[in-house]
Amino acid sequence: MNCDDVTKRLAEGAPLDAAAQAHAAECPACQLLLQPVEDVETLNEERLAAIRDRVVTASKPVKPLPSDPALIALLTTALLAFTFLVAHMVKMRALEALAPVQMVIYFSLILGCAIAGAIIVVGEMIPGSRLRSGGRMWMVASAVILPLTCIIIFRSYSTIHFVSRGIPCFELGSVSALGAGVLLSLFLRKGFLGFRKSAARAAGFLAALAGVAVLALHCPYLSVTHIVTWHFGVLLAGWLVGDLIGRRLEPR
Amino acid sequence: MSRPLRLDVDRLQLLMTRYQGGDGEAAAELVNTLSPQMFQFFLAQVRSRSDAEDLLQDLWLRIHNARPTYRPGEPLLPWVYTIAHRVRIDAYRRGRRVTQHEFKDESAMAFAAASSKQPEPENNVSELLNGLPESQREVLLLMKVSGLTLEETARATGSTVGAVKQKAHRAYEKLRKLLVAN
Repeated sequence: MNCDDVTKRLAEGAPLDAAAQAHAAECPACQLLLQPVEDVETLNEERLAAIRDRVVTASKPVKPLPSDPALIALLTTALLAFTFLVAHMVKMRALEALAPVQMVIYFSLILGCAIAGAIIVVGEMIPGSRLRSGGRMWMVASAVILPLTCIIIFRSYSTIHFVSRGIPCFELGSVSALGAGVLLSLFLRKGFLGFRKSAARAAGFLAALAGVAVLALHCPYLSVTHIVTWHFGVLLAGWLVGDLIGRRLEPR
Repeated sequence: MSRPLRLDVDRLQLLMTRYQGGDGEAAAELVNTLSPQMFQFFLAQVRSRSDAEDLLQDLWLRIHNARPTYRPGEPLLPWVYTIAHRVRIDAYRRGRRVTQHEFKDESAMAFAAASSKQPEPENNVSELLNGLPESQREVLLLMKVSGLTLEETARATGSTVGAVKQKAHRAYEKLRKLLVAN
């Protein structure tokens, strides 16, 4: 046992075993590292009293937010309802073009990504939540898995009317994502955003997933190039807009 | 007079739940119990009593507004420290904006003042913490002063357990070097 072992144990927050304690007893530097940090400065009593009075005066009963699973279910249901409403308004023409297997794979994957996104967004709303970890992983995984799945399940690579068919899809996806974003921002207002940039990115990406879902229900062009470029382009746009909003929310 | 900063977490959680229910006495006790530790947390980072007191006031304002996001039974300290982390970041950004304007005039004076002072040997961990970079100091304060676990520290700082472990390791190594140097 040497100083490095003690440092390692301290950094891991692990209790010191007998050997480490024996080393620390003989090593002055380790003894100092183990020394507790104490409250050397006391808080001004008047200031503390002023804070206390403000808190006590304003103290009114509040209802804690529902549990994480309830919030996740609520958010997913709200986004699903929004997606089906928009898709119903613009007509679900993709349902006629998709084969049952394609439908099951494509829609369940989008739903899976959306549920994962709802978990991350709920984690962003609750200070100190363990749910928020993995936000980046979720975005990267969704942005990779969705196009890869399209390459596997759709056979056509047609680029006929690539731009003229693509732009209306991108517009519809973006407008739908915008609507979902408004819905999400109302939801997020109920929480406390400790990490605004990552929260805004996650919300932007999730809103864009709602836009992708609308396109998946509406667009009958099953060309891989069309879907990857114009449908999943909405995901990139959602992430970028979320990032921009996140930066704006940070004090400058 | 010094006193240990470790808190009775079960009692704190109970007080927070009662505070959510509108209990003024619980709110007062919670402010009294948590404030010294939070003040110390801010003071170790801003190094000015009045700034630390301002941050503490801001923290309680935000805790008050965010109190519906606390769920009874959940650990309270990671929840509070996430909000404190946010308060500190916002203050730092606001301060940086102000400092950028003042920097040109004051930097020369500050440099001259710092150069004229002879550094005094320090062998107290609390004082040596000031020699650490901010992120390392924060991690060490959360773990060593507040008694948060690695996971709770990661949750409070929006980081991963691995990153926290690495920062803590670097911080302890640097502290050791400073101790040996002194």
